[in-house]
Amino acid sequence: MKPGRKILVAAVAALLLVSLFYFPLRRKFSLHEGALINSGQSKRNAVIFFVNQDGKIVGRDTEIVSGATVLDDIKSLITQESLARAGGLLNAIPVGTAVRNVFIDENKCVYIDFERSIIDRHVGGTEGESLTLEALKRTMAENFPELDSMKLLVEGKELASLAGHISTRLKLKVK
Amino acid sequence: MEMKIKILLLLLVPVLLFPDHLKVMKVIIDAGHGGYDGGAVSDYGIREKDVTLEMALLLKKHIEGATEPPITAILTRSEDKFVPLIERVGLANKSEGDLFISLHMNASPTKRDSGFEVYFYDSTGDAETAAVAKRENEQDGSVENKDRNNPLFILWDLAQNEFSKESSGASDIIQSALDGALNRNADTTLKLRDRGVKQANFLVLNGMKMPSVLLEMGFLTNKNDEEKFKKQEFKERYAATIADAVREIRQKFDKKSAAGR
Repeated sequence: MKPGRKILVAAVAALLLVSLFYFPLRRKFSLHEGALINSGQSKRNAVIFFVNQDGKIVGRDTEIVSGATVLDDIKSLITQESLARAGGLLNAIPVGTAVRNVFIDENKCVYIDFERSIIDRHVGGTEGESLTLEALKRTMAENFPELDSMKLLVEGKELASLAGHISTRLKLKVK
Repeated sequence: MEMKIKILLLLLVPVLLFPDHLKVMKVIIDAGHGGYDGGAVSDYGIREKDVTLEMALLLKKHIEGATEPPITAILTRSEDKFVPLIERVGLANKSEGDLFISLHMNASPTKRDSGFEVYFYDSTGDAETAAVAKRENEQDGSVENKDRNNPLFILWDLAQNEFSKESSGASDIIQSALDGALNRNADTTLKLRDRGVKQANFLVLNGMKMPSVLLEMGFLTNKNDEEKFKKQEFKERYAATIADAVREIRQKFDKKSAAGR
């Protein structure tokens, strides 16, 4: 093999190797330490969660335009999950739920601060609460695998429970 | 005279060594929600807080009627008022209840979800669950040290699990009794789906110093379930079945208690 061809083959192999490792990583949201800056892609694939007619949580693929940080992406996904759905799917997160703020602590726990709408518009019941919590957990686990847990707040304060049943005082494991 | 005192003390030894705390003599009935907290609401405006109160009053009537030896039923609320969950736990513990039953009506985004389910406390979450319990107790001034490795804290954690087995057993008995009364007889109008026994981290069961269960009696968001809870006959039958289950729980606990001696 001519030296020029050898270099070409080596270059192509190196490129393939880099692609194999680099692109799968790029597809995930990245939690850069401290800044949580998104890695520059304008559009991201994600999975959001709803309830089907049989009361089971189901995921649906979606695409979002990334915000400046991962925190913006989390807010964007929850907002999508609280929009009224057509096509037989129901909302696990009450329609019209608004997120005030999102932040992440050093223990990889995401704090999601909701407006009161998440309580006021909640269907209630242990089952209704379980479905909301499950949808939120799976949204975090599926789209932000770097996170370990989540904590729910309402208007900046600790939320005891969504509708008077299951405790949300604890950090809820998302893995 | 001295001999009589010695005999009396000897008789007291087993009582002191084996406190009969499992004997169901006092049942705390908790009507979920109340006051400004209406709980779930059906499409036709039936509110969870009203159904739970009505069922709690019926259950008290059925538990206290025709039971020998008598069982006392204490309500956490007997009117339409808001009682914070921590106060319900406090009332049950201060009353030294032998069994706690919290009554609720379920709800779901889908109208297909239906039936009853019985829950008992799930203490998984460990340190954090205990931290919550500790914090609640700190409000009562009963735990002073905030260190998680504190022996008091560890004891509290153990206490959380102490009644887990009894709570599980009580849940099974209530679930089985309801399934039998509603689903295994000729009257098909009573049928209510049995969703089984489950566990969850309920605020109202956290810190309970007695076997405790939470019963989701049916779905207000399901038309068939809702219709049933509009009928007095059905509600009477339902409450009487839970009362029967309570008597069975007492028998089971009594036998277990006697076997331990």
